[in-house]
Amino acid sequence: MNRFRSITSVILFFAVTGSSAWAQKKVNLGDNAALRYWSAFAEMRDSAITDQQGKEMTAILGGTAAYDDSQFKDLVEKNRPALEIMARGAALPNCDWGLDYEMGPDTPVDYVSKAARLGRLNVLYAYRLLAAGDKDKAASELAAGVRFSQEVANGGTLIATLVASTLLIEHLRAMDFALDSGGLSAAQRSVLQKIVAQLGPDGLDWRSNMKRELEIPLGLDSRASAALDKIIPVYLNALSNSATLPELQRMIDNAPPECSKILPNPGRVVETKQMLSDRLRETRSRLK
Amino acid sequence: MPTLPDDQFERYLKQFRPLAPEQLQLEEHSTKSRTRALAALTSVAAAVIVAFLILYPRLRQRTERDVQHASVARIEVPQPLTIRSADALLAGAPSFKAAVDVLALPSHATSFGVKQSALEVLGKDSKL
Repeated sequence: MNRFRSITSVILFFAVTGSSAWAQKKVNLGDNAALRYWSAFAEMRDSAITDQQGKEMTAILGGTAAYDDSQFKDLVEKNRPALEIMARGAALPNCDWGLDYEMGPDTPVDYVSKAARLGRLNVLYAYRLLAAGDKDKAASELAAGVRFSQEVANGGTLIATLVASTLLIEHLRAMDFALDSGGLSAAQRSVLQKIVAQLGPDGLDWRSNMKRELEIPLGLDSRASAALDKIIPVYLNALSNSATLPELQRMIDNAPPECSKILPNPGRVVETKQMLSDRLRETRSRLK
Repeated sequence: MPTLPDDQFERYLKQFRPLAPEQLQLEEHSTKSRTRALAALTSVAAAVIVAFLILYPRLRQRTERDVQHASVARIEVPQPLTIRSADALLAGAPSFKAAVDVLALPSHATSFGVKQSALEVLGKDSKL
């Protein structure tokens, strides 16, 4: 009898803990911002524009021209549903793109190109709101865009980090524009200060993402693999200490070609990282 | 001329008075037209130089931009995008910025004749 009770208790225990873990997993999946972002990608709508409008759009995103609502109102309005879904996703606590790194270098990363487009549409939307004088909404859209941009790099490799960095810089430029054109209220500033503070000094986790990038199994021969093992810590160190770049470059130059040709240019990585840090520092000091 | 006796012929000859020579019409005409032609040539040359000086910086800028665009356009984004193809894109692009811009091009390269895809433009050229 006792034996029967014990077996029943064990079965019940596993049934209860199993269903609880399953329920927990279900809740976590629902809270995953990446799923909302994919919905937003699906809602994006294209629009035909002239060559001149294309140039103006480029200049606006580059921070060299003022937003002209008469030119881009339709494009932005068409994409408002996508941007609203994106903003709702940005409010969620976690974002997991679910990348299957077991596929090695064949892991699909198509989301980064879609994210680049959606993020830039959000920058235009923020300019439109600012032009209409809706600074409350502009500040919240910029905050959502910054959160989205940062999450594009979540669990990613170099390419996701570069797209995230580009989007962050474009959102920070829009914030600078908001500060220049008539200023923001204390509450609006506070929304932006909070989100920019969350970014930290570098904006993104460059080290983790580069580590992931460099550790993807590529099926190198033992000689190239040994050289790569020695290069990886020096490469990661160079991200926070650019003085070690010449040493790293020497190691890369002396490594077997199958190893050196797969390594992303470290000078370019460090330069891009620095560009984002500089822009963050500038915007932070302006928001004070 | 009729045949006259010597004395009459002499009188006839005495009627002639030397005239002051006029400037050769042909020569004067030629000098004037040469001056005019020279002036016209000078004006045309000046106009060409002025036009060149005005247009050269713009032409140069456009050419540089075209070269930049061409170098970006030459890069092809494989579908579907993977880590391997993204890394190849980064390695082959003139800059990381150019690679990111190309990457953001829509997969369905829509042709609108004189117009273009807005999402395509969003994917390129913004300065980092």
